[in-house]
Amino acid sequence: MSWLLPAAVAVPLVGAALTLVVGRRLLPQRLIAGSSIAFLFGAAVTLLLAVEEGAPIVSQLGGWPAPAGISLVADRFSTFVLATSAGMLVAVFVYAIAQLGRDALDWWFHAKYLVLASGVALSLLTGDLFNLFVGFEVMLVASYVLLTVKTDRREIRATISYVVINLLASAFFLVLIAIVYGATGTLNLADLAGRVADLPTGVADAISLLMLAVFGIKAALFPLFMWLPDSYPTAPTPVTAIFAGLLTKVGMAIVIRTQTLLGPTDGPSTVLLWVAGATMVVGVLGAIAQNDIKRILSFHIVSQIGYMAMGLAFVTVAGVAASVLFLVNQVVVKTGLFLIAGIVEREQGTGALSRSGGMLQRRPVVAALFAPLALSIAGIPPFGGFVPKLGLVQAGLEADQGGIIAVSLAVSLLTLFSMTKIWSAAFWGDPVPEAGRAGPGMIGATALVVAAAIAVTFVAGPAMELSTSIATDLLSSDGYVSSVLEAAP
Amino acid sequence: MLSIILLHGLLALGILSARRFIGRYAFPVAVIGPLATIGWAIWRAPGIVDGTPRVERLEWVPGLDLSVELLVDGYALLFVALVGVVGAAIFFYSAAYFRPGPRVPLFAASMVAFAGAMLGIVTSDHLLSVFIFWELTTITSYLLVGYDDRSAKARSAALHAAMVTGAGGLAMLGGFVLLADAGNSWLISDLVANPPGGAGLAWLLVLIGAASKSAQAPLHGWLPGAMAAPTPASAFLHSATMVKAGVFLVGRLSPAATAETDWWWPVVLTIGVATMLVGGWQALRQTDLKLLLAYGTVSQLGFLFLLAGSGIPALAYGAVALVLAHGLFKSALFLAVGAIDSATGTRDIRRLEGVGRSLPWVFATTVTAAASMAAVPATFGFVAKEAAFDGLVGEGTGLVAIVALASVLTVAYTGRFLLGAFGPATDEPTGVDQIGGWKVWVPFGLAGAGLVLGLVPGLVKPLVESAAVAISGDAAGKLVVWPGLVPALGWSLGSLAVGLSLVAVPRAVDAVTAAVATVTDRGPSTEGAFRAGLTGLLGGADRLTATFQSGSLPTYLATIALAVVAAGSIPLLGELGGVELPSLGPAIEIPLALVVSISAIGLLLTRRRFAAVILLGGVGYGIAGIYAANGGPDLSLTQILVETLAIALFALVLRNLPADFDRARASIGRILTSVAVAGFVFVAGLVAVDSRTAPSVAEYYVEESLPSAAGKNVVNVILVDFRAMDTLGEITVLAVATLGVAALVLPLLRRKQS
Repeated sequence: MSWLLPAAVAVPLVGAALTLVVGRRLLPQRLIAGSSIAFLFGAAVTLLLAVEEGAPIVSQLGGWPAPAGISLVADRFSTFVLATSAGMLVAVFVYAIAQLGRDALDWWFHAKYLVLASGVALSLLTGDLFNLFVGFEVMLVASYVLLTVKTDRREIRATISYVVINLLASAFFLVLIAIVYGATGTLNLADLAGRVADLPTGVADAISLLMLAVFGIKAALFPLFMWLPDSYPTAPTPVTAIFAGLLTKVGMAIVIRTQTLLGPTDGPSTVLLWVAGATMVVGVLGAIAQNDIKRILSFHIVSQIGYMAMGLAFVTVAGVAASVLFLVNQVVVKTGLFLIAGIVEREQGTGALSRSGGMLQRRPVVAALFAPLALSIAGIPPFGGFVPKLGLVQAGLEADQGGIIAVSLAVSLLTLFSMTKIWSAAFWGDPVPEAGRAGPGMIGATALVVAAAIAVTFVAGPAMELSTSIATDLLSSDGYVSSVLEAAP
Repeated sequence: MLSIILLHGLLALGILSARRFIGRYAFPVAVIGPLATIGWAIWRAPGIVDGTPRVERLEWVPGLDLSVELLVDGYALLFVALVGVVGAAIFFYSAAYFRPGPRVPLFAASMVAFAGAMLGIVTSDHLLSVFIFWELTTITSYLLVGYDDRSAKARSAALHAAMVTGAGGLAMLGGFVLLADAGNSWLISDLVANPPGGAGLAWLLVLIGAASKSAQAPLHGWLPGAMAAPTPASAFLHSATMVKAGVFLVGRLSPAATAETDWWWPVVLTIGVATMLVGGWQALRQTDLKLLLAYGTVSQLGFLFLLAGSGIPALAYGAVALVLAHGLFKSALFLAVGAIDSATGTRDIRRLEGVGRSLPWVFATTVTAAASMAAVPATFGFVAKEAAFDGLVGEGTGLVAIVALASVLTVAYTGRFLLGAFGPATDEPTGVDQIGGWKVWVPFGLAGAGLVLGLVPGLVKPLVESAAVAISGDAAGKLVVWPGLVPALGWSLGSLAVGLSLVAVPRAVDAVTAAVATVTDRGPSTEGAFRAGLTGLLGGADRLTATFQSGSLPTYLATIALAVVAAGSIPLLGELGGVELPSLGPAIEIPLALVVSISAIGLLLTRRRFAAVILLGGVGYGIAGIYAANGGPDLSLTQILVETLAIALFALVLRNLPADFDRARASIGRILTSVAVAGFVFVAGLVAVDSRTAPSVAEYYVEESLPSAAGKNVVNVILVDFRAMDTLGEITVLAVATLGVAALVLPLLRRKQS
């Protein structure tokens, strides 16, 4: 089974190369890309099922034993996040084909998309700090070129900010790697777990906080989030949807992984609590100040990341479990919301709320897709978003952190407020002239994502159970460490 | 009961999915829900009234103790019956009220979904299932208030209602979680049996939630606004059922709350009295029949809140009786107003005239129901109020006096309502069309039920008694047609008489309310307060976002850099003490370091592009020299190649760019940021290397390179074998970057050529 790990990374990469080889012929491109992504999804689900009840599956690349070589690790956490992300990659791929069509699609869209998928898989599966850097770079370089499908001035300007900030982030990542390697002499995460613990407290704390800051840029934690709302909304919808659903969440998954594996685990993290609170509040206030659907949703990406940080900050099984479930639910919900924003834009020719209206009357099906996702992100029961939010509140109470609970509930109300703002302006009111029509492909792909979001309600019990065992794994990292270090090459 | 609730959900979904075909059958389908509820209630009533509650349970997320647990006792049954009976009546009415249209199915679906959620609230024993259904009623109420979505007023009223009750709901959730934590159980039945101590905050939060839902002062402002909803929704949600959810909840919890806190009852009393007086007073000032009823509802809700929240058995008995009475007469009145509205096209009391002559059955309905509202003897309103007054008399004269004062207002606004609806017009009168069918007979039936129960209260006595027993352990009251000469009768007949005398002098009342209004209207209205709060919030959000989201790339970069430096350096401060500086390497390092440093600083200061390129080269070549001096000639060669290539490329590009930077002046801020980053990297590197105790994995590479990987150049073996995955990734990065540049540049070149 361990061959699936490198295959999950390599197949999309090979697929990307093949789509370039077949040139501009669309059908072969689509077949190659579609089957590569389907493979990734299948592999991720298979791995999830395989590790759900047992030990992590480890692949020592090149046959070199850990910690000398690079290890890929499929444990419950990485496969849970990867399987969900890969599912979204499939749905958004269908949507992209339906939306962009022959003209708007540039000739190597498929290759870029597959490279991104490969980067996501590598970042989630790798067990090596430098290889994580490489995974991020692969993901990022694909995101740079995906942002510039059209090459107009506004888009290039937004892309330049995005690229420059991410280059700075990468530079800091390298500094981090240098410091970690300097202090421990290893890059394997499992190996690091033991060695960081042996370092003087100050150095160990510096390393964990530095990791929080460096990965916090990707995850868009306060005060490192400003690049996100400026760059995401300008891209074409499928690109924004996949960025929104996946990239920050991959960043946050790495934050969760590194903080639980390498950070201090004795009691709540004050720094992270403040960061979580500030991220929620600043994000949601940014959202209610916007008047464009995609900009509102972009700020909500930031705000919701704060909730994931909140659970992590408690450093308890209950808290981390709620964060993990929150993260996975957000992958689905955020992807879906952006896809719907794209449909609204297509139908009305704009995402500006002031020039929107009447979608409920004209396209009730779009309203039916939007409502469950909006309620889920606002944490209204019985929709999926409520369950991890309740988990966070309970975990907070257990950790005696009433302040952040109050903040998180207030932010929930403001989230609901901005969802009613979209509903009231775009779905209610006088219809604006129809600018286009979203075809069955776009609607169908979105419906798949919405169905997945609704399914969370029905599998919330088992999903919470899985998240709890993930949190147990993460907080007592012995299982992870020993399976990586002892796995045969 | 679960299956009944589920049935409501399925009906809602079914109506929505069949919205294109269902046409005028939306309500006839929806009414299956309330009819099933009534059937269930009749079927289960005997056992429940005898004192055997029915318990059902549905696990959802065991890990969070999250489940739907229902317990239908007498108290719940009373509300279930109310939801079923009033719901069925209103759904029949709605079938006649709406002309078939594309949006009617959405209305019907929201109504039936609401009915299901409401059943969930009143039958839930698990605090979290109360919350689940509670939020669902908020959402359905939002959709129903905003049903007339082209009206900005309706949209704004929907928002107001959702935000106030939504905020209350979240406060309540906080309270529930604290309560469950303190009492070690999520079940209301457990918490009431063993009230947890030291949960003051929890009780307060729950009280806020209940008060927001039941439109208690000062949170009542959303309820009159919610009258933007179509009349059937107002009748169902905003008078008969949803707004009673808060009353329901305090009725359940008040015995425990009063046992564990000493402030609960005084606070509830204050809220209730304030709500009664504010609602009654405002009702006297309305000219829209529906708004008049809405403020009347506010006033009645205050009364119910006070009674149910008291935790006193005698008052609880009055509360359950009044809930039933109010549900019947208020829904009848709302529906009658809807009938008048559709016959005349207005609800304005200044323009209505001759309605009584043209629509005698509507007249009869309205008068009967209004009599019940004013607690005229021989109506069920009187019977219920008498029970309540009986309890209040036992609690002291002051209390009963103040409630009697509010009752005077009730009588007065009832009179205003009747005179307004059927009396002469003061403005240009409207015509009256004939109407008939469900629109007339449904309210008639509801009002008639109030009359029948007023004469034969024994019909509902077992229900009311078992409800009172369920929450207070005692049926400390009685339902009688005529109580005999007791103090309570004096109070209620007294307030009726005073109220009627006020009705007799409408102009004087108008003059007084207008005079008082000139003073009170100077203060903020609740609607105005909500708007002002919202504007303030949005303004603050704008300013905050403008601060963070300046759009300036240098600011973003500096923020990120400083945050990273702070995160990495603060913990290191304590470790600086014992750091040993590494010994100097070859002497050539000193001039090389100087070259690198001077070039780097010059780079910050120069304004000429060409100089910048040269200085950048200086940094690169200097570093190449340091590699060479430390035994890395291959690395050094690579670096020199890269630098040379970079300079050559820069030189080519520079031909097309101006010689100077636009704004190349290095500000103090930028210099300090750069220095901070450089200083941090330098110091952190020293400390990190100094704290190393474990051996490096590099030793493995050196040892195994030749024997295991058959390569003499360790660096090469690392790149293509030990860590080949990194190399593969980086090659991908390069390839994509190259293609990306080509994709950007080639179209431009082509455009230039053509």
